[in-house]
Amino acid sequence: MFLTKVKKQSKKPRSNRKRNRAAASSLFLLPSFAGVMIFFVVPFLVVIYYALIDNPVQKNFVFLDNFIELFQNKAFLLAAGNTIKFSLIAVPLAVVLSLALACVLEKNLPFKSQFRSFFLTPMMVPVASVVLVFQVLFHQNGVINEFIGVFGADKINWFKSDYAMVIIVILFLWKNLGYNMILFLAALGAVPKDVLEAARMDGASEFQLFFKMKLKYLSPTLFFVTIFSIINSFKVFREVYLLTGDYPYESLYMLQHFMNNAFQSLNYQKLSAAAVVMSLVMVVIIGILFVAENHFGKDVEG
Amino acid sequence: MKRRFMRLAALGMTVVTACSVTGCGKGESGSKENSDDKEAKSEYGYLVDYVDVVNSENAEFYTLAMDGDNIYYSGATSNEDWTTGEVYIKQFNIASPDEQKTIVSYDFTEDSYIYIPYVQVKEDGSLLFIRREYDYSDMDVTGEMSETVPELEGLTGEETITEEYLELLGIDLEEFGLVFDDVKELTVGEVVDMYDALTSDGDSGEEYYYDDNGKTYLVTVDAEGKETSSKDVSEAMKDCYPYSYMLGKDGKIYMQTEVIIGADMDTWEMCMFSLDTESGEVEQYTVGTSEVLGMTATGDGQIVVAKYDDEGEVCIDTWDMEKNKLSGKNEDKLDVMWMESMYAGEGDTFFYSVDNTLYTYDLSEQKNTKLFKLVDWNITADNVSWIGGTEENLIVLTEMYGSSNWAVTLNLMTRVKAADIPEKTEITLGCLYAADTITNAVVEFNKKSQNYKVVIKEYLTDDVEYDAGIAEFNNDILSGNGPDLIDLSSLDISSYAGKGLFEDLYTYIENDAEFSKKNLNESVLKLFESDGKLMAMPSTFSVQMLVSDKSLYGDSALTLDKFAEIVKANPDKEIVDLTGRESMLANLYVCNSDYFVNMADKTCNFTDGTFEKLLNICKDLPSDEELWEQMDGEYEESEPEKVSKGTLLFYNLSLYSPEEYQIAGLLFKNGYNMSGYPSVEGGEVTANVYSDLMAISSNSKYKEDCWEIVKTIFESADDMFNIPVDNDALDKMLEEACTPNMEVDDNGNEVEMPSVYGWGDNFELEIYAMTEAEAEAMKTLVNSVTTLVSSTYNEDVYNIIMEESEAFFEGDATASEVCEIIQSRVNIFINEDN
Repeated sequence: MFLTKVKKQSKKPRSNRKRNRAAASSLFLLPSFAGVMIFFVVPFLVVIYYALIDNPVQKNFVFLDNFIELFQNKAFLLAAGNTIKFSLIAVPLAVVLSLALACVLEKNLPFKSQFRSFFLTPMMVPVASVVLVFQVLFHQNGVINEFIGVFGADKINWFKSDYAMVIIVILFLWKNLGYNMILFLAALGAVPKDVLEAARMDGASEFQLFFKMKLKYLSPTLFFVTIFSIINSFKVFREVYLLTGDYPYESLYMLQHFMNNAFQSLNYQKLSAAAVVMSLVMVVIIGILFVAENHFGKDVEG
Repeated sequence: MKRRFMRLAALGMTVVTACSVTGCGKGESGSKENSDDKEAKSEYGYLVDYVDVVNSENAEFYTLAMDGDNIYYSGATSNEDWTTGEVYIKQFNIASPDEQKTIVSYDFTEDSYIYIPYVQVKEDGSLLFIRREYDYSDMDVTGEMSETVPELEGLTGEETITEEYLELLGIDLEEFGLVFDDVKELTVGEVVDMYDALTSDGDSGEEYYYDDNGKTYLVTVDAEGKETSSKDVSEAMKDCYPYSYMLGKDGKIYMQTEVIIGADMDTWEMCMFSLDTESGEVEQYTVGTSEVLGMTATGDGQIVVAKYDDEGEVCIDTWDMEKNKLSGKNEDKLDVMWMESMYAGEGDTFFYSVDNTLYTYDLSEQKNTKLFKLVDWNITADNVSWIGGTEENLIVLTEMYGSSNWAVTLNLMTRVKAADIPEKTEITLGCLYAADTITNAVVEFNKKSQNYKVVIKEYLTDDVEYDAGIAEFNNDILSGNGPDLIDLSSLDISSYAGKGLFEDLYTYIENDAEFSKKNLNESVLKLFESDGKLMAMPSTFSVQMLVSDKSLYGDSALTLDKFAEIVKANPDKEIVDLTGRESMLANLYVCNSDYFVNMADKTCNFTDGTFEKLLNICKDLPSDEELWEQMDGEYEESEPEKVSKGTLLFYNLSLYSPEEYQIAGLLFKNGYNMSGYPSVEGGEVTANVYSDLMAISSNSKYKEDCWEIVKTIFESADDMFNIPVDNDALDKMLEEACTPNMEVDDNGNEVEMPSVYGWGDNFELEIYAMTEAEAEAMKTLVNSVTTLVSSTYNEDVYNIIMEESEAFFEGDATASEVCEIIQSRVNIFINEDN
């Protein structure tokens, strides 16, 4: 009797079960799917729509006119240029310095854990406080100017001079190095010790060990840290905005300033076109990084 | 089984998560009242009939009493200059308002006046009312009282006052609640001055002056108007100048008033007077020290007082008629910040209005009910004079002074189900704050329109801050759900220009037979053009000018260079009244913003040395903060006083009336220059528009109807403190200003009477009729405005300039460094819009 029952159950069509399972999975996926659609996909489609019309009231389709105007707009070009410049300086520095720090802290140093905590503290400080600290440091009558004044140097208006970008790079590094370093430390810890040992026995130098072996094992983390730093470099607007407002000195004018101001002045079509361009650039950069990561990490990834 | 349970649990969790997401943004807090409001709004409404009680150019309305469907009201009509006329009590039935019957009538002349502030219908249908009579026969032609204090031969005024002197002077101190000890240390002159002040000057003095010559009677007439009794209660009422009259349940008339106390004559106390209608006896009680916001009687005669309690909250207290004081029960909180007005309801209820909303309060249940927003039913809160009836059948009396007549209207409101109210298409009028002119025009339009109802949407309320209000306004416009009509005054017009958001109003003007562009001030309209299109229609404006002595810069234009010279040459004089360096810089920038920021060419120009001039002009002035600190608590002379003494160089003229133009001229007796703020070329004339700047949304479905509303607002523009954009209205204004006010003096000769304007303690100017030449000059001036304060500068640019200039004023940067930084930052702003 028992066997019969089992048999009967096993006779249930396999396709039905698959369908049920697929339906259940879809049901579980539905909230997330709806969330992504409502909060990401649909708004982005709306942004694309706005980028293709003349204004939100008359809604005349103008095809690529907004993009053409955008690329002729000096403020956009300045913002894009500054953002690219900042990313090109800040992102490699953030990656290289955090990796270097991770390598140093991987060694058996005294106060190793204290150093680790020290580099992580900027993450715990709210942005507003960070900005306040930097204002105190780099104000016209701030600590830095007082310090250089001791050596007879003139005061520098740091945020309204060509040095402004340097300060923002320092701020960016100060804020992000710790987190990147922790990621690299974890990745370095995961590099197989036996492989490294074998290489050493084969006579590999520390330089070779790092560049030929460790770096290959680190490539997924390197990829992630780079993406993460690029995203954060676009988000540096928050700090710049708090430091200098809507219209900073020219060297600090970032893409998000342009978009924020376009929003304030009700220029939705320009804002949308800029957002579409920015997302396309991000897709291209991430695509290139994916290709690079696949290329450099293929030897060590399963 | 376990697996199935896990799946069910997971499914449950998913549903909960999904529900919580869909529930986002629907907080519970504060929603109860709103939902109640919505329910009430959707369920009920009012059908309103309008009955014109008074609609005349020379009429006044005093008070009203109701007896069933019968309305009794007191008022007056007169000839054009109010020298003769009649004061009356009339009666009509709500069903036939045109059939009005005069119950009593009294004639008045220019030497006498009669006032009926209180009318009560008694149970037997007879009327009881208070009649106040004033005698002006001892007034001289200037409107001042005749000399009441005789000059005593041989007295210099420096003698110390004695009781004998008081007797000789005929001054009765008891009249003011004073005794001799209160004045014994004063001189004769000081006592005479004090007496004059109390009898002929100031607000309170005016009341005393009336009282000195006034008589008060308590009169009863039968239903036909035949006088059955009249009691002279003048003596008993001599200190009583009521704000309001209330019928108590004990049959007495209660009157709320303030009474002067203390020898300093500066302290007032809120008092209650009760008038026994049988005996004519008057008793006076102190209400107490609490700040009283209003009083009324309920329908059954309880006297209700709205006041602030110890915690600063508005509460209800009642008058104890046995103990003759407030009961002290402050439990009934009203949950409002203030009280605008209170009126008797039915039984133990009363009505009150706050923030344009009408409420009813039930004393026995200690419960208030929000009825409706007055404007939703075409009532302007400021115009309400009386409310009575029940929630179901409300009667609201409104008074409004129109362009030429005084209109008193009864709004008979019958509550019905919302479905029974004829549907009208809603047109939304959006604004930050609704100005009275807009509200009045909307009410007028709604009353007349059969098909449309204009709904005012205010974006700034007590709960919504400026930035949030602007953000909501912008989102509404850009989402396509914005208002059909927009009042752009108080908004940064430049940020809306050239975006195709608004209709070109020139098209409407050209297609409207009632309008002609030539009849409008074209120089003002030009200020609201964008790409040759008129984006907003102003109704009125004012002109900002600097007036100075002719000798200051002669016939040359007031350029920045000239202004810099003047500032440098007069270090010990005030340049512009209460204008520190930041304010001066702001004014100079705003009036020259077109020079520094050229939005047409997309260029900015802060580095050619002109802005450095501005900075250098301002740097030696005291900062705004220092200026305010200097005058903190100190008596500050008025601007005209300073000009007349020669301590102030420029008089800041806000030209909104012919009188203002004349005042500026009178201040500089040796000739004057009138110019806009200094500019690069000189000769700018700056306009300012504070309200009624109407635009029609390009997205509106009802553009033609919106234009009709714009016209209604334009035609009902308040030109009392503004210059009309309509040239005909300006001509009429100037014509009236040129007409002398003639009166007959004691010798029977016609003499021109001046209008007297006073500032500070002693500074006065007498203004006579404007000359034709002055009128022509003023017309030329207002027709030649070149810049607009509120739209020519962008707030972002303004903020950059003010922020960066601070470094120069503080000595942290040189003028050229500041200019470089401003140039860099403003350049971004301009390029963004390129």
